[in-house]
Amino acid sequence: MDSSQFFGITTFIYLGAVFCYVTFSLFRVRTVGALATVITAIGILFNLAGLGLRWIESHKQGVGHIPLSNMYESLVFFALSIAVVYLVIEFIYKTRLLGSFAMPFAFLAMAYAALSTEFSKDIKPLLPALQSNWLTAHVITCFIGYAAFAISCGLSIFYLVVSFKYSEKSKLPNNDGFLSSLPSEKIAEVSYKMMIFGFLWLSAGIITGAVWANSAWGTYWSWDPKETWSLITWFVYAFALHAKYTRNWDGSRMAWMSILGFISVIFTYYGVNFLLSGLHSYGG
Amino acid sequence: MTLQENQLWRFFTSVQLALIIIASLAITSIIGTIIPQGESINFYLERYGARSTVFFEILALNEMYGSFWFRTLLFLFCLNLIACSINRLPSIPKIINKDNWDINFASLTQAKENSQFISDQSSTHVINELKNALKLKVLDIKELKAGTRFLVFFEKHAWSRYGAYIVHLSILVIFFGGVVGSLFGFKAFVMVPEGESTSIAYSQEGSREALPLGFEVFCETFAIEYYKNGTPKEYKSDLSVLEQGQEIKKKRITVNNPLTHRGITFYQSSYQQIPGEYSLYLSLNQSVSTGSQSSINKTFSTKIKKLNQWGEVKAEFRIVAASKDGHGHGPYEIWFDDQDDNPITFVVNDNQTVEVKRESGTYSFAMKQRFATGLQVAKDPGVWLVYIGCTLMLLGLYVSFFMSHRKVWIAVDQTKEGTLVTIKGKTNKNKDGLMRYQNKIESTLIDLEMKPVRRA
Ligand code: HEM
Repeated sequence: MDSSQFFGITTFIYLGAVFCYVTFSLFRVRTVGALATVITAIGILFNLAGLGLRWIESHKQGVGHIPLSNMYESLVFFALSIAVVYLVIEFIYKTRLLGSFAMPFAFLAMAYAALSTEFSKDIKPLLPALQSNWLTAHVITCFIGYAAFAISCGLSIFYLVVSFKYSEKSKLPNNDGFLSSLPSEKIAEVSYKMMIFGFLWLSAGIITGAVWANSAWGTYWSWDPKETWSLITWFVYAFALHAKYTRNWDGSRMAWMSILGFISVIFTYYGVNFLLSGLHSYGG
Repeated sequence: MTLQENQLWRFFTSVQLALIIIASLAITSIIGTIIPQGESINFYLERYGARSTVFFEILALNEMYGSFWFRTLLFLFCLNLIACSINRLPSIPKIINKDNWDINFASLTQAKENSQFISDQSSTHVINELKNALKLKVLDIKELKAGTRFLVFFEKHAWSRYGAYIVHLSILVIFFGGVVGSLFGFKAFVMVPEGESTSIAYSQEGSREALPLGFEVFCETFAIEYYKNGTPKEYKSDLSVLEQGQEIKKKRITVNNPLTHRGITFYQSSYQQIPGEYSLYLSLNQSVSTGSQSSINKTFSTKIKKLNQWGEVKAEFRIVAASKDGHGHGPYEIWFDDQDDNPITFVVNDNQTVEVKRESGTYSFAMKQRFATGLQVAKDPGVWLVYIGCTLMLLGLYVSFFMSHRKVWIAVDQTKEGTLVTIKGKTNKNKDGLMRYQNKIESTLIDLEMKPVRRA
């Protein structure tokens, strides 16, 4: 088997996990919930194995490099980060009800990587500028941050749906399937936690990117569109953070900020490559 | 009028202003990612028409990140940050040093949200058990009523309340580093042909003037390494630094691995072929009387028909002709002569080594196009400040987000029903974390065979 087959299988596993999480949320069968977790864990293993295999394949082709060098590989790593970060919060908060809103992002990232024809999936040798450990650190930190933002966005959508259905004051009825038994403040809290977790990693991502640029070109900041968009994203989340901390913004305002922030992430990651032009090579 | 009453001060210390500035920075930054920056005026005229171009010029949208208004916005951002910190910082030590014993014992034990346990043991006994079980180094205990009523207090990470200020300071440090870099540093570029040196570089900021380096940089060779499929793998230049003709430093630079001397850094940035010029590497292997070999070599930069002399071994040569197609590359015809024999003529191709046996030894010829290496030259005395700021920022973010100031009070009171233990926790954020921590203390109490008290 080659790595792309592994990635194909991972896509279906993540889809299966989404299906189980949704089923669990609807019918509350404990075993289905446990199954969802197990399936996610297996998906992570396949995802990792695929990345490992791709690394080996690149070495066999004599151009060996860590598989984080183009749009395709970064999407696969993005999916992995989402699944891992999600499992960790499932473990910390001891609830499987968030899975239906987090795991779809892992599935979508994998499916998009597999199906899109906008970028090449071949293993290509690294251009000289990309051969740097700072680049590896840059990609890993950024994508952990993006994964957290994706989950935060998913939970914000969850929050908005819940608070749309039940006005703030009426207590949640206990037996209304999908949405009940997880108070909306809890969802908002986890969503905010993911936002600040992502903010820390995004900051680290911008910083490692700056160090890399400085070692390759002698400038740590050149306002190229990709850099600028990552800064815009950073400002969006900094804004949200201060609005909540100092002006007590409520759950639904924060949920909209989280969605806005993730749109900015998508634009930084995707829009800049395909709609604007710049230094970054991920368009290939 | 005190500072607090000053309108201007109030304006600059408001967090609302911060929100407005952050939003403005985010929104205006978008412009420069849509309109290409730093192009010639003709570019804008062609692409956007005369009217838009005039508009761009007035608002400096073609160089917006360096424009007056954008810098003003950044400056306001810094002022706001400084004012806000000065305004709020003094309250932090007050919070940290607050008298934690100043708490009403009765309301502490009666508050419904505080969890309670009851034990058959005497309160002095409970206190001693608590001391051992909680395994805390600093556990302040105050005896409020001889042998029967105690208040225990402990706290964690009080200093984490400074986290936000570390982050804000880090932003100022980064800005300061950037300003230092732009005032005392430069960005420049220079092309150095193989076999030549330079003591100047050309500024890339507006003026394009020649900047003296204060020393010489010599490029011995430039080379490109390729992958099997023909894409470039690495660009490298062998550079050396000369001061007063003396070689001080030598380094092979590659794209991610520059050379630094006296605060000036040379980055491998581009290259150029020099048409009609060649770089010729010549070496001589001789058998010395004792049977061992000796070898000397020299690299020549030359042109077609130019006579080259290697004084050391008294040899001379010239490239008679390049290939007939007129593109100036191999195969080359070379005429060669040394002391021993008649001159000979032979053929060498690009990047090929040809050996010529003569009485005095074996000569090897290797020939290639002559290149010039393109060096990005940068001096940035502010970069260390920027890096310190970045490190501070990550540290500060970690402290702000993942550490919280936790306080726990435990009231121990001997009542008619037994010894009543009440736990009260308080934190500035992360209620969940505090809850988990309190649960841990509670299970410790249950391990000590105390019973939870259920209250209506
Ligand atoms: C975009 C850059 C900025 C970043 C990354 C940043 C970061 C932070 C962080 C991490 C916190 C702590 C929040 C928490 O504890 O949950 C914070 C709090 C705060 N920030 Fe900022 N900040 C920025 C800009 C500003 C500006 C320009 C102001 C100007 C007034 C400001 C005012 C405040 C205030 C008043 C607090 C509350 C501090 C406290 O704990 O007393 N921030 N900021």
